Amino acid sequence: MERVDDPERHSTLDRGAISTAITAEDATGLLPRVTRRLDWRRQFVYLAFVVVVVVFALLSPAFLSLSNFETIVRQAVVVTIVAVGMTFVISGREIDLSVGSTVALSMMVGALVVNTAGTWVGALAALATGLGIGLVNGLLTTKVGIPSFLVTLGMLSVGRGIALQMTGTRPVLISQPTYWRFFAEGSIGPLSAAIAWMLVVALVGYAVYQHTTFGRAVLACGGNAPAALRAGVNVARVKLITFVVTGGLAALAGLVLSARLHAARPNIADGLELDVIAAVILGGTALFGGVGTIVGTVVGSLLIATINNGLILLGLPAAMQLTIKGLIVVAAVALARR
Amino acid sequence: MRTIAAAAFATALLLAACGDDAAAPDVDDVDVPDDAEVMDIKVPDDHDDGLIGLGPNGEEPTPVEDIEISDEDCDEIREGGYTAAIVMHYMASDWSRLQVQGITETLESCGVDVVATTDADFDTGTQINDIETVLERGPDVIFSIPTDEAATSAAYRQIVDAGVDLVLLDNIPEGLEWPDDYTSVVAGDSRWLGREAARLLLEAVGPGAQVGMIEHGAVFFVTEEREIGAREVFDLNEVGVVASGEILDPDEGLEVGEGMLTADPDLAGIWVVWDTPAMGAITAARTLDRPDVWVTSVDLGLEIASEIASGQLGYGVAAYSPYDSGYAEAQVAFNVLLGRDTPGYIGTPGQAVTRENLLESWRHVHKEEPPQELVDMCAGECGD
Repeated sequence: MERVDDPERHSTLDRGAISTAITAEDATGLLPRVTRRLDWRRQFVYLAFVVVVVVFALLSPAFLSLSNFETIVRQAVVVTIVAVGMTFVISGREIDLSVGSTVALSMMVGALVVNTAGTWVGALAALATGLGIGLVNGLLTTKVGIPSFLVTLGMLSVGRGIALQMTGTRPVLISQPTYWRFFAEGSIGPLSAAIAWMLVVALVGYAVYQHTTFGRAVLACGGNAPAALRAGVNVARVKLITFVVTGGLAALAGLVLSARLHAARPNIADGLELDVIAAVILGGTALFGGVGTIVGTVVGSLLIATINNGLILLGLPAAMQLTIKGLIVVAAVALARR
Repeated sequence: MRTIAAAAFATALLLAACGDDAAAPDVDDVDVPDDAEVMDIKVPDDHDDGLIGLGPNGEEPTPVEDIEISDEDCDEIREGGYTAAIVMHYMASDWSRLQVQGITETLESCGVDVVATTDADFDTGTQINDIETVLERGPDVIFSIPTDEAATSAAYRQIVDAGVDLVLLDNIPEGLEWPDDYTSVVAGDSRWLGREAARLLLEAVGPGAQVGMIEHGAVFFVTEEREIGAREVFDLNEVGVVASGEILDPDEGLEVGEGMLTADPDLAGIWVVWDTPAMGAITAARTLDRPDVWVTSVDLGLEIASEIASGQLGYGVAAYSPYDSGYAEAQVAFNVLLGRDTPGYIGTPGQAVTRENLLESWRHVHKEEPPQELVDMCAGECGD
């Protein structure tokens, strides 16, 4: 899909809706063929997901079971929670490379506070840490004007460094069953708490992205910032909020992960940003902003988890898994490219 | 010596479990009661002979006791006013911290000053720079572990050319030859550790159970030795390894563990190449509601220690003291400073750690009192 200059129109109308409307009006000729093609490309992540599922189902008997599907979803939780935030950041034409370190640092702060002041204070401390990191990222990007790539690259090191220094690189055990249950191991109906958190984040993210002024403003900032400014959007503030939200979601991911592990580990989630960015881009969000979907991001994240899971079940050597995973991701992005 | 005590302790544990001295011609039959089940676990016949694993170049292992210096030697070194530097691949681990602590404290006990300790954070380029920078300080000895055996080779050659004595931890940069280029390499007895972790797993799961292995996807001398050791024990006991997975990053232990347990509902135990990915396997078993699964591994980190303390999922580990390795490395340096020859490979013995000896083992490995939270989790069941 070509970049549309009017951000309001572009962000208000779902791209699928645009193409459907055009197809209905103009049943013959070049245009419907082009839009059908665009449509196919836009849905590529779903197609890729189906293809990957079918291939693994044929290759591995263990793959196609309900319990394995649950495993895949659970393994996608951390990436998905962070990727929802990252979708906003990337849609706004920025990037956040510090999410892995934010997960680790928030987790460490949370764990240390949980053990002294209890589950809820600890959780708040973790969230405050993540939000704070996001705020610093956002302020340096929007107020000081340093490119977010550099700001968050720096924060990647700073956050990890502080996390490692806090305990002299040692993990912190978390021995609060309330904490384990609330963030990961408890269940709401058939869902584990970890998966429930992911769904809540995805649903709220979807609603905000698709159905609020803020969501449209983010797309406007990423699509055409000068036009957005002229239209009265406070670009700096909107971008700042996307960083803060992502920091907060990284902290939530840290809470969920540490509740699963019963511990916080300062060197965890190293390189998480790469899986998160891959999920967002696979899902159809443009790396240079202005276009994106939350549903695509969630499916992108599930696709990555499915590839990981399937390759493990096939028992391939780890190095080969890494290569195949990279090839699938690149191929998927290339085929889905606009 | 602590190391002898550790080896003796580990051996004593095995012998105590035997009931009487093992007399089988090929293998030692070790009877270990595990709840109601009793299983004869066979181990290779040299398993209880102290150090068994060969060095990275097939060298016979030498125990540190053979090269320890006397008090008079120590005084002589103190008068020399020597300095040393430590060039690490990565500092953010207990292993590195304890190694450096062992080296530094031992050196200082004889007046050798550590003028620099560098952390390459697993980056080869950084480590090459670190070596060049450290050489500027003109130390008499450099202790180092390469991030990469091939790419750092030229930088290590600079150390050799500068006439600085090189003591290696665990790995040897390519092209460096003993004794011309380096003094000794010091490493834990990885073969033994791998075997012992496998023996512990069989002790935990009992006869006829299905086991899996999580191995290291990269070729690394120490992890490969552990895997060979584990397979020796599994093969000897005719235990088929029904599931196996590989990791490159310790965080992947969780995904691989979940995959293995999902694919194989009858899996009773998982051997994991080191303790951090083992925590992933334990988390996987907990998440998938498989409380019957046992995990064993190598190294005694706080997380796996807490699982062992709780008496569920984590059955035990084989561990050695990185501090003792650091102590041995410093002893190598002392010998070199005194103008004496040193052996090519010095091994650090390991011990079996289970719930029964957890707290005692913690002290041995970490050279400190166990954390209170660990003591609490033991609920009085971890020895002491």
